[in-house]
Amino acid sequence: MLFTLFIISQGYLLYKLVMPIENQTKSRSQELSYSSNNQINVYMKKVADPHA
Amino acid sequence: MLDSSLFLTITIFTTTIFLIMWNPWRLNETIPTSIGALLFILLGIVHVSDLFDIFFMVSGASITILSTIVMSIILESIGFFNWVAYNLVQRSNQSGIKLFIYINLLCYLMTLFINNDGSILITTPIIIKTLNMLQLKNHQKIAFLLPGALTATASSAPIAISNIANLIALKIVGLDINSYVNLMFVPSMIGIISIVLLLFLFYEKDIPKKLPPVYFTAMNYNKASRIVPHPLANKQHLEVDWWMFKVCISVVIVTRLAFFILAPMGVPIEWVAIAGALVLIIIRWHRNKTGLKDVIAKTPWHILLFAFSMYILIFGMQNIGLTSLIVRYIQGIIEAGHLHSIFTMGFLLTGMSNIFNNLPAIMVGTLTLTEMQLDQHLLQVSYLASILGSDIGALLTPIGTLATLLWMYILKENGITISWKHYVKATIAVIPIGLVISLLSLYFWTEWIFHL
Repeated sequence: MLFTLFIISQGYLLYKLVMPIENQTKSRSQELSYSSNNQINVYMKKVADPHA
Repeated sequence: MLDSSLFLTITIFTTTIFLIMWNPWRLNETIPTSIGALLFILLGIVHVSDLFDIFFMVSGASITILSTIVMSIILESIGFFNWVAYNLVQRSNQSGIKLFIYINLLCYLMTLFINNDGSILITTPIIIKTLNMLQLKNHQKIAFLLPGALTATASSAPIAISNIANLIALKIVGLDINSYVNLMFVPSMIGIISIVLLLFLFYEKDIPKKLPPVYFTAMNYNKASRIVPHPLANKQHLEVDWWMFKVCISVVIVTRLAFFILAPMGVPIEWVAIAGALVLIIIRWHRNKTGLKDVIAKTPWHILLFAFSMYILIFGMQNIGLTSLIVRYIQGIIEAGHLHSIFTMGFLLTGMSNIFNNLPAIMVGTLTLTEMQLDQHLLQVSYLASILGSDIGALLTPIGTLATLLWMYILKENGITISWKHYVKATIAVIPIGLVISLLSLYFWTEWIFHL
């Protein structure tokens, strides 16, 4: 039981580490419209190609 | 056995190990191993009748590892890892120490949820991307990369399913994944934490106190430094399905939990692993209509043949008396008590792993222990000490584990140089202390558990 809780806590830690900070605070409805209006995507597109 | 036959067996074995470790023609490690195993069978060193037993011994572990690799391929295909480099920089909030902690945490978690080789394959390019974004100097990059690699490899000790070698040997000594965790988790975690702390002290002067701001670093991530293509430069991967992201990470965690919950009910771990991989494949197909093409192409199916061939080679060495020779020298010390056996096996496996790699070493070590007719507790603590030797002690040189060899190769491909001298200078300062702490922790922990 203790180990089960430990694995869950480690899984949560992995989730926090790989999930962008911005997305962790988004609501579910915002998440579902993930692509075109995702703020991070727009921001990162600018970073990847500043002249676009 | 005739002397010429003995000579031939040793020559085939050493040549095979040499080809795996030094890989002069960039061969897949399965090729020399399979040729060596085939020669052993043709020369009658290993009998055809033994092959079924060997296959049964290695197949479950190999299928489990293959299934976790399939899961990581699915995660990669949905862009799971593409954001990590950016997140690491952002989360560290311009602190080099925080970045050091997050990198080691990522390496540990990836080994915990995937496996040691998978962790090295996935996290090393992510760390390189992160460090390239920050435009650090070579010696500063090493201060993050080497601790990450050592943490990823050492982290395969706490749970048996993170390493194929541990998993194969588990069945032979009469342990299951839950009893392994009960006995091994605490001592190996103490060892890993000690190693990370020692690595931090060793590299403290090379870790920049303040990192450049994330927006600045991302903007300055120029094409010249993109030896590894930055994930953000790939427009195809810019759009990540966050729903899939969350569902898939949940499946990975639930699968890991299922190993421990279902094993006591008699469900073979490879079935759980296959089920986890299938669930991810089905979810991806349902959401994206993506088939199995990439999974089939990217999965290293040869692992099954590699483990099978390697075990044939070890069986052959056992048949010519290698394990009996070791038994003759160490049986007296092993039987002197738990503390003696723990340190003897820990150091023996460290030595063997650094001479001929930890996968064959742990196989030799386990077969040696089973030949001694030890009582159950002594057999199990000796086996666990062997695991610490082969997972932690093996890190002394890059040839100790396939994961560190793989890591050296990835670094070279990405233009980051680390000499053997530098590697050993760092590991010699850290690994022996970490190993002794782990072995002592194993002794005190198992004594306490056995007397409960």
